[in-house]
Amino acid sequence: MSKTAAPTTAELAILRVLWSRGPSTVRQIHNIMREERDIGYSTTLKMVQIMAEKGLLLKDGSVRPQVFTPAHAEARTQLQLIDELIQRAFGGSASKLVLRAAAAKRITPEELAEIKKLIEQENKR
Amino acid sequence: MTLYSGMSMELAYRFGWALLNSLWEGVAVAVVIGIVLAAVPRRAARARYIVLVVGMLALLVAFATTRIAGCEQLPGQSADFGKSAWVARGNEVIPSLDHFGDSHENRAPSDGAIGFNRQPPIDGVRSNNWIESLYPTVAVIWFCGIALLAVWRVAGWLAVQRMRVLRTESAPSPILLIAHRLAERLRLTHSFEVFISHFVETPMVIGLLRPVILIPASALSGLAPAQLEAILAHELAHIWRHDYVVNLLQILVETVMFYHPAVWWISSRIRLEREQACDDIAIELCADRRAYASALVAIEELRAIGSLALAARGTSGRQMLARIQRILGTTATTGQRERQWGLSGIVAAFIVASVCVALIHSQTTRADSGTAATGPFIIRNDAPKLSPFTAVRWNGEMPEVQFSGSWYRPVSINDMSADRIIAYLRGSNDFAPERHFAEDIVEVMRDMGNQPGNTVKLELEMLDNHQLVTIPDAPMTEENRRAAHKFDHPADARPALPGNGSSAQPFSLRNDALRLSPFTAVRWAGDASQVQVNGTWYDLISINDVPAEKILDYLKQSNDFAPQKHFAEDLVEVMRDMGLQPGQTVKLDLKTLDTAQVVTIPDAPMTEENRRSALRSADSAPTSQPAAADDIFRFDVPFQQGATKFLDGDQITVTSVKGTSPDMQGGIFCIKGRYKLTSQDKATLAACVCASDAKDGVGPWNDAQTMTVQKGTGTFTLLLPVSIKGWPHVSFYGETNDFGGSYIGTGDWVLRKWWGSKD
Repeated sequence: MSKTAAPTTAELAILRVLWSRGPSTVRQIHNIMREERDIGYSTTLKMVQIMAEKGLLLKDGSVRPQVFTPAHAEARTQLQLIDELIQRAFGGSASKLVLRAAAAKRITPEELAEIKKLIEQENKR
Repeated sequence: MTLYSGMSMELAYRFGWALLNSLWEGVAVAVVIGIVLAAVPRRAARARYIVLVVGMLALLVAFATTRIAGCEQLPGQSADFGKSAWVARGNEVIPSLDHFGDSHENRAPSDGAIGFNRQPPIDGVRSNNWIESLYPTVAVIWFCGIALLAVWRVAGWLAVQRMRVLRTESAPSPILLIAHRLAERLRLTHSFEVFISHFVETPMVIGLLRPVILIPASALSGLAPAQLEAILAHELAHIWRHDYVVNLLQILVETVMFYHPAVWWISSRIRLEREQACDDIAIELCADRRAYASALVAIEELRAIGSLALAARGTSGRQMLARIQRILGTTATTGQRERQWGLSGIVAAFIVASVCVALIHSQTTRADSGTAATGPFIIRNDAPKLSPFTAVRWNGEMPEVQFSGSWYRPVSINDMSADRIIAYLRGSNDFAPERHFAEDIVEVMRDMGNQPGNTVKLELEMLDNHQLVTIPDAPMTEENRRAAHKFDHPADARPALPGNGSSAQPFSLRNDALRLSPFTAVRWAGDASQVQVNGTWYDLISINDVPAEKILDYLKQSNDFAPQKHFAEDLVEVMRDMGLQPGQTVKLDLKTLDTAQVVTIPDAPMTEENRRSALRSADSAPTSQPAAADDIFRFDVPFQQGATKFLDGDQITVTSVKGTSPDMQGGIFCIKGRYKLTSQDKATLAACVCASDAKDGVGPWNDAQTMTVQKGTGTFTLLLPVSIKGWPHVSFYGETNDFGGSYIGTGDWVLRKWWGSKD
């Protein structure tokens, strides 16, 4: 399964365009996006580039202008979203069912600093 | 109330009982664990872990066995059950009123002997009813809690299952190599997998049969190889120690006893000690404490970078600090802080425990009072009136029972043999063993220590071919029991009486009227009744303008076996059968005892509380005469009043004499009357015979002939055996001598003139 993070809401909007239209250029994506909300071309461009970096989109550099396609099928991404939703909703319950080295809850920066100080002191000895 | 209808009442009581008991049990276990842990050094994480797990198992066992014991020991708890604020009736639950169901006094006149050994009814210990009334509510809340938690846990399990595949990839081969080398050193035989996860934030082990170690992708790049190895060693240690199994058990206990702070505490301690035990193994394998400590910190750091979510200040930071200190071997201030915490925790636990124990203790004493497993059977009518049989008939000494319309010979009920039950009743000198077997089986079996529930297992033998039939869950119902009663008492099936006075017929107690009384106690001076209203004693003149004597006469004319008792405790039924049914209030005409002033209460309330109180006082009053007295002392003796002599203000008035013969010249006599003592602070009141022939000396002397009386007025009942010729009298005795008395008797046995007096 994919190791990429689940897309954010804005990223999902772009993915939806691509899933319905098929491979598209940034301009084509932007034109459709603009129908729904007020968005600058540069914003769309930036988002598409980030998504390509994250592995959410694949780009075909052989043609000009570049054409982007979704890295994963719609169904698969939806499944991943559901998974993350489950984790978020039931993480509390799940955390008791796993054995982990670190504490179940994140510790505060102050506590972390205290612990680090302790280790430094020990290293100096 | 409908809330409870789906759940068996009895089950609810059992669970409620177990739940409330588990409060103090848990505290006790936690205190013991606390004490043991204080003795085990912190570095011995494995030992501490074992102590905690054993403690948690003990909690679960205690909880389970309390529930089971609750089943076996139903007498205890069902003393509650029968008398408590709620009583299951068929499928619905109604507030318990003592007056439904027909009952005990419905017996033939010869049954009077029951009065002798009558024990105080359980009414006497009603004080804890509020706790019992909580049982069903507690049980319902508990069931709901478990149901919700179970859903939550299943969802968590699903989430964990998805965690295996959610954004995971198989680990690069160097990691796998390190992991397998470590596993070899641990001699770990269990197979496992290692995945890199882009989702989880901390290294973890999931899965029971196919354990998977998840390493966060960030750790792959953020940790030094030595650190990564140490972390892997920690996770492998979890697999090696079978921590997953214990963890599941822990979750089970946490779910079942979710309400219990002791469980929360033990559980969190188990998690900490488990990690520390794995820390020890990891350090042993990797031999570098500092690298390992820094690895743990590095993971926390990576986590902090990975997410913007705010961390909650909780126990995790403190625990992590404690762990790092333990790894590095520095026992700094936090150790002390922890100990202080533990100390105050133990103190608080003790307080909670003592409160719980106090609460439960009163419960247990109640329970004991109901458990008469070894004593002889005495019907008390304090158990549910249920029966699995619709009729019982007797073939000589052996019972035959009707079940589902067919007759059988009963072999056993709930694996207790029918012979044993009957032998128990007969061995108790029970006055009506057949009847109690047929109509009071719940009470009988409860007193034998085996109270049946809402269903029983029956073993029956067919009458024709002696084939054995087993019914695993024969319902115990009130309808059956009523049918059995009707089968035995067809006469009781007479129609209800019309409410007009002229049709009054002989009284025979049927227990089909409300059990109310305007009096909180009734006592007797012969046939004269004295009643307690608002805490004051009066002579009773009339109720709703019906003279008290008329009511008593009616009962006596009906050959009622216990007229005074029915007067005191079943007034509504008596007056109804006289055609004079009282309502919620009655008009009372009373006379004060001292000034003989007439007091009229136009609307004295008729309440169940009064009636219960009258019942209690009748059972506890030392002077109340056993009902059987009427049988033994069959003759009303027409005694004559002889000479009397008293100090100023003293008085003895004999109001009735009953005896085993009609004249007082041989036999035993029951003398009742009133006394007034003003000249002394106390005296002994005695009935005896002054011998007319010197060679006879004094007559026989026993305890029943005397009673100690205090200054004031009161009634007395004395027994006088007459075996020598002489003059019977009732006299006051002081320290040395008598100081006044009244001679009574029949024929020429009455002393007419006081000793030495002229007239």
